[in-house]
Amino acid sequence: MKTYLKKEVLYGMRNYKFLIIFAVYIFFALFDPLMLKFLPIILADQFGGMDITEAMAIDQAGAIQNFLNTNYQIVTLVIAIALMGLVASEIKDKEIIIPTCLGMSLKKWIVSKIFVYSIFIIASSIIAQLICNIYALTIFEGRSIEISASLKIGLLMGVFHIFILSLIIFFGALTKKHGISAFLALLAAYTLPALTGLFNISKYTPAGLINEAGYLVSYFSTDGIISLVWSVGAIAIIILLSLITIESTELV
Amino acid sequence: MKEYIFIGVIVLALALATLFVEASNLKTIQFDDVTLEYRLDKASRNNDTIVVLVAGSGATDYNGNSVGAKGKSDVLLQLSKSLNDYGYDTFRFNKRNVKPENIIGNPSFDVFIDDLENVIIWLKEQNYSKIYLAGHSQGSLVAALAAQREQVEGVISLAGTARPINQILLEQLHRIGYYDEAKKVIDSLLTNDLYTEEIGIPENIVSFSDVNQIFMMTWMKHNPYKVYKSLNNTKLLFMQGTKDIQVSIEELYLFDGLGKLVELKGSNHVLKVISKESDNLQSYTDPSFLLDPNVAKEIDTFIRN
Repeated sequence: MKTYLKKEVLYGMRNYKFLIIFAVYIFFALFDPLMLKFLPIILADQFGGMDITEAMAIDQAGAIQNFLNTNYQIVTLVIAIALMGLVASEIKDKEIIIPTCLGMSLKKWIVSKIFVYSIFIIASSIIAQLICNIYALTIFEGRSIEISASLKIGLLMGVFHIFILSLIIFFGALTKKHGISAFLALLAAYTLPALTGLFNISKYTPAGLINEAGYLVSYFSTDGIISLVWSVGAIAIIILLSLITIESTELV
Repeated sequence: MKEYIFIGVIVLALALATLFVEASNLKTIQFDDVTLEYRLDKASRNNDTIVVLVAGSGATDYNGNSVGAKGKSDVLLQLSKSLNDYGYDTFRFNKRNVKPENIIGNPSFDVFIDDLENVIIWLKEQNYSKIYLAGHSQGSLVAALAAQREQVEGVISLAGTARPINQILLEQLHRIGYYDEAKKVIDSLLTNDLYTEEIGIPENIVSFSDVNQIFMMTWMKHNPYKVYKSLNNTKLLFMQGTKDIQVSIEELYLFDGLGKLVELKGSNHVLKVISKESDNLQSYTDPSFLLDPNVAKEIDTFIRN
């Protein structure tokens, strides 16, 4: 298993996947607070010098909330694009035929990918949230959000992105087409909150993670715990489905 | 095949985990005519001191949030966590009107006093010898009335009024231009008569439906100041935020002489510290506005002294 993990780490580094994802996380963690800081000045010009600070949350909490939205919308997109070839391309480009003939386990191959990228995503997500929190604290006055709340937000958004990763791997194994796997994963990511909200079942899906993160508090609500449990369960099921799919995939 | 069995096991585990999380969150106690849902958070084993948090008006749950409203303040949840950190067990419960079927047959303010009285008796049976009641807003009056019936160690009024609700309501409606309309209804209720004429106050400002009028009649017969004054052998603490737009800070000073008065500087009605006025109402529906740390600190000092 160690060899598989080492291979994935090297693969991620060589293809700049780690670098791209980490850079996007950090860029928006710094960019969003900065944008919010300058927003009143930018809008004041457009609204004839009107002070909009009373109408908007121009503070640390507002900056963290903005980053949370960006995290859901843009970072999800970048992760899907950066990792869309993780399984699909390797199958399509027939990169795994020889290793498989030499005895490589396809199950270990899938599990090692999930493991390496999950750890990387969780770590990046938490680091980015902490950076956003600390940076926003230095440039804004007024109410502040606890560091422990940012740790929780980072964890929840990280789990949400791992859910997207598991979908990319599953759809990649199923379709062997990287574009389609990213598209389907993104479709799920962007429609899930609206669909589950409609039927009031968000707490049983990863959409509940985003709701819970949005409260910006360090403690978990009961719904938040249930969302986390169901999201981890959903990820596990999708991984198992990926393993079943890859077993029956014709590599040649 | 093995994978499909695993998937079945995971689904089963998820269902069980959900049941466990939900069951460990709220428990129930059966009283005569109602089943109350409650949560008891223990700070340590064998604690003999407990603080009962009593929610304010409306269909308010054990976290201090209005059922059906968009957003949440988590005021009682945050207070409970802070008190747990100070080493006190806490008891919170869903008001019975969280489930409308519990109140429709008997729309009386006094049922809330009955419920709290039953809770105090039940907690005494659980070997809590020092029971403190902390009532928020309307809950302040409920706590004081329950303490009249069942002896407790102390009562804490959080943003509670000193004057009867008819006076407060009349002032609130006066401020938004409905004095004459409100006066007619309230005068009628004070004489125990339902007001049946056209009222002229929009339903979204205050509902004077028949059920609500009956409820208000039973509520306005209680004078909070007089009730608190009657609690001779009970320690009393009154706290009020300076930025409260529902209950003015003057209400706090009316309690002068009955117990310790604490002014929460910069806090509003849901006991959140706010820095600008636009945050005042937003903090009612946004839990990231945190509870004023002085609330738990003052309660700790009050209990220890």
